[in-house]
Formats: sequence, C-alpha cells, structure tokens
Amino acid sequence: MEQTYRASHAHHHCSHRLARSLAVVLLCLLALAPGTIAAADTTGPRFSMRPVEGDDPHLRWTLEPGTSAQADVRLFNGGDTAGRALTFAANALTLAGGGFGVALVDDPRDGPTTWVTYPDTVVPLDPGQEHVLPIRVDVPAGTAPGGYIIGLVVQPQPDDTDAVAESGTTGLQVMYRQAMAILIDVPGPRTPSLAIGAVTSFDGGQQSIISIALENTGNVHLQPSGTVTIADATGTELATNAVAFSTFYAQTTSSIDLPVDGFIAPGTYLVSVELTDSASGAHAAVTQAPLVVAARATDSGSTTQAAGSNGLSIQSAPDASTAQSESDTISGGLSPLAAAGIGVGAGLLLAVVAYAVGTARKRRAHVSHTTHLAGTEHGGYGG
Amino acid sequence: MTLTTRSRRWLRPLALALIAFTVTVMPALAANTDSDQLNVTITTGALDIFGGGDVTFDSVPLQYFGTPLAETEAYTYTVADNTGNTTTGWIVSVTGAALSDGGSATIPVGSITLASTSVTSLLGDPNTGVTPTSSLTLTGGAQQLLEAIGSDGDGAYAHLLNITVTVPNGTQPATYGGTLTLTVVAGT
Repeated sequence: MEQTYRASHAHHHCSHRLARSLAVVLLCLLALAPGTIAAADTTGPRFSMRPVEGDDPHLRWTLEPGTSAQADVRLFNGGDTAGRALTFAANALTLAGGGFGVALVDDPRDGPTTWVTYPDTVVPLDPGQEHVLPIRVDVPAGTAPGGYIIGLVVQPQPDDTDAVAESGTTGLQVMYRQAMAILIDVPGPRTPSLAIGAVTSFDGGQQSIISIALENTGNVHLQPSGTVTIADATGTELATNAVAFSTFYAQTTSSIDLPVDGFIAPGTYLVSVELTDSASGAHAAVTQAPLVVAARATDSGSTTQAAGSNGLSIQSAPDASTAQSESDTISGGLSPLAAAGIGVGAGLLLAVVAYAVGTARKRRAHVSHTTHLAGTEHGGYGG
Repeated sequence: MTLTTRSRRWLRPLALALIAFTVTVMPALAANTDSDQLNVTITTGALDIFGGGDVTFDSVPLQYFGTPLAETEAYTYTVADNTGNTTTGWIVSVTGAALSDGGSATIPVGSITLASTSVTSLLGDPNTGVTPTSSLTLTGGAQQLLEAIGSDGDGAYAHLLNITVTVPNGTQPATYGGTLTLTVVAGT
C-alpha cells in the first residue's frame, strides 16, 4: 500500500510540476505578446484634416463680391509614427464621371484658388499631434454669381517617401492624401449650362477607352444623366449605354470614359450623347459625332471589336448591387491578433484548471492516505 | 472539515482562471478588427486613407515579341471614416502619371490599369453600399476609384486592387518609376 501511495503521490507531483511549468510558459508568451503585436502594427504617419469648428468636413460660405471669410483648419497625425505633413490649397476639379477631385501639388493654381490665403507649408507632426492653421478667402470685387469650389490638401512630404523602383523593375510610389473643399456661393442669378465636346478614343493597357469631353459652362453644380449611343459609319447601332454623373462642379471640365471590352477596330464611328440635369433642367446633346479610330501601332492579338454586325461591348459602370456582391466582411469574425490572444488565454485557462485538478487529486490522495493510515492504526482496514 | 478545505482549494484556482481569462482574452477582443488603429482617429473625427507601402513589379525580359508584356501586383489600401457625419459619404480618387526612367524614356500612363478585386468591411456596417469602380485605365486625370454615398461608408473598408502595367512593345529597357496618388474626400 505504501508503494501504491508513493507511486500515486509521485504521479500527482509530476502533474503539478507539469501544470505549473505550462502556466509559466504561457505567462511568458502572454508577456511577450504585446511587444510583438505593437511591432507588427506600425502604420507610419497618417495625416488628416478638417475644419476646427462644426461637424461639416468642408467649409461652406456665402460671400458677396469684395467680401471675405476666415476659419481654422486642424491637421492631425493619426498614425503611430512622426512625419512631415505637406498642406496646400489647390484647384478643385470634377473627376471623370463626376465627383470632387483636387489637383496635385505641382499643378497650376488659378481661378478661385488664387482667392485663398493659406500657408503652403510643411508641418512636423508626432503621433496623435494636431496643428491648427488659419485660412482666409477674399472674393474679388466684380466676381460673377455662382458656385465656386477650392481644394485643400494634406499629404506626406514627397521627399519623405521611399523610392520604389529598383534595378530592372518598375515601381509605383503610392501617395495617400486627404482633401477637403471650400465651397463658396456668390449670390445672384443662376445660369445652368452644359456642353458636350469632342469624342475621342485611346488605348488603355488592355482595352480601348471611348472618352466624351464635357464642360459645365454655367454657374451651377450639376448632376447630369442620360445615354451614349455608338453606331458604325452607316448609322447601324452598335451599343447604347446609360450614364449617370456624380456632381459636376460649375465652370469645370470632365469626361465620360467608357471602357470597351478589348480594342476597337480601326474605322469611323458615330457617337450620339444626350445628357440632362433634372434639378436645373440643363440639357445637352450631340447626334452622330464622328469618332475616328486609327490603327494601333502594334497588334496585341487581344480581342478586337470590329465595327459592324458584331456590335460593340462596352463595360457597364458598376452599381451598388455589383459592389455588394463583391463586398465581403470580416467584422463578424476574428482577426489573427484576436485569435492569437484568445488562444493564449484559453491555453492559460487550461493550465490553471490542470493545476487545480492536480492540486485536488493530490489533496484527495493525501486525504485517502491519511484515512488509510488512520484505518490501519485503528484496525478498520484489515489485510 | 476536510471537505471545507478541499472546496477552498478549488476556489482559488478557479478565481485565478477567471482573472487570467479576463486579462488575456478581453484585450484581444478589444483589439479585434483593427480597432486599435481606428481609436486614434475617432478623437478628431477624421477621414483617413492609408495603405501598406508601394508597388514593385518584377523585371521584364529585355526582348519579347507579339503581345505586350503585362505585370500585375495585388495592392490593398484602407479608408476609415470616423467623421461622425453620417450624411455625406466619401470618394477615393486616383491620379496617375507616366512612368519614367528619369530620362526621356517613358511608359504611358494609359498602360496602367486598376481592377477592383474586393471591398472588405473591417469595421462598421457590412451592408453599406461602398461602390468600387470595377476597372479603370489611368488617363492622367483624376478618376473615381471607390465611393460611399450618404450614410454608407461609416466605418473602415479595405479595397483590394490588381494593378497592372502593360509594357508596350518597343519600350526601352530601363528601370521605371512613377507615382500613384490616392485622395480621399468627404462627399460635398
């Protein structure tokens, strides 16, 4: 019996040591984990900007000619690394297909951008640090009524980004910017107007693009929509596409760019465009404007769409339902970081439970042994 | 008496287990879905765009015939909308330029195409209509890449792109570089 007790005791002692060792190892892993996570999560500087006052992410002012307005803009580094934020005013533009765009830092600045007093400056920002800059807009006397828009940008100082092209490679440096708008309304009569310009085509890397130039010639921001029809030289319809613009800012130019599946065969095409802004009634149309497609410099061997009976396949603009089908979510799942943390936690929990079981068994064995010895002493357990 | 002692011995490890579980698992849950990155920006209500480095394509053969040689790299950037303004949405636009060898040799900007692969909701409502432009060829002008209208887009979204450079026939062998500028703006 004593031998049995010794074996049992040794077994429980072993379990106890094993559980304790396991717990210590897991605790060490736990202690190391935050450092590992912190090192892997470095994001670099991340600059953003917005007006100091109010919830509106843009500045909106109604100003008579010859008057001015001013405000403060807050720059912020939401990243985990210090960096130099370059901020500047720039020409606002309408993106192809509509929407607010802003010119690049080296692009010319004219029009309402010249009304702005804002320091073109580089601001060093530590993580979590903010910096407030004043901005002032003076609308010159004699300015015509209408809507005007100006861009403000914050981005990393270009000199601080790494060169990416190495010997024998092709590299794209990716620059991230955030921009906000200054929207100025100069009171007076509104004259919505829209004009359709030249129709051209150009080669993309793997397809042709049909581009229709547009100009918002009035003083009202528009949201036109309509149709584009492409026919061959005889007038036989090849394709018809519905088009819808996001905001088309007053006195800016833009384009409708229609990507084609493959390349268009050389030849003459006739393009008809009709656009209407339902809110203002602005309307523009062209009928059978010629599009002359020249032979490509090289035959890539890619699909070539001939003018004529086979029609022309134009890629549709994506819609919300398409986007939804492409969307995915992991918000209901666990990130690798969380999974690792939970794994360590569960392991630690098991170790502590194992320790508890070991301790309990040891105690039970001890009680049993004590009882056994007591029984032997009192003759309760005969051999 | 012995029974009482055994019960107490069970309580202490159980308490330790609960404390260990709380200390270990709760921070991990809090760090889930990159919320550690987003908490910083919530304090100022920022609209934020960021990504992971630049794009480098493999070198291409010096001699090739027929089909222009296309190289594709996957690239992901993230937009986080913590403006608290649920009515305006936002737009990501892209501006490209011709790739240059630093001298006179170039690869035209039209040789760069971007194809949307997926938009992943990292934080926020996964059912919002964040709409990518499915495919676009850079033109040198600013073009829309991703859009969230109205209250859509309140959260953080990762946009995975396939970026392709098609090297035209006759391109001079060299090392080419250029800049892709991504701009995020709140809806106006």
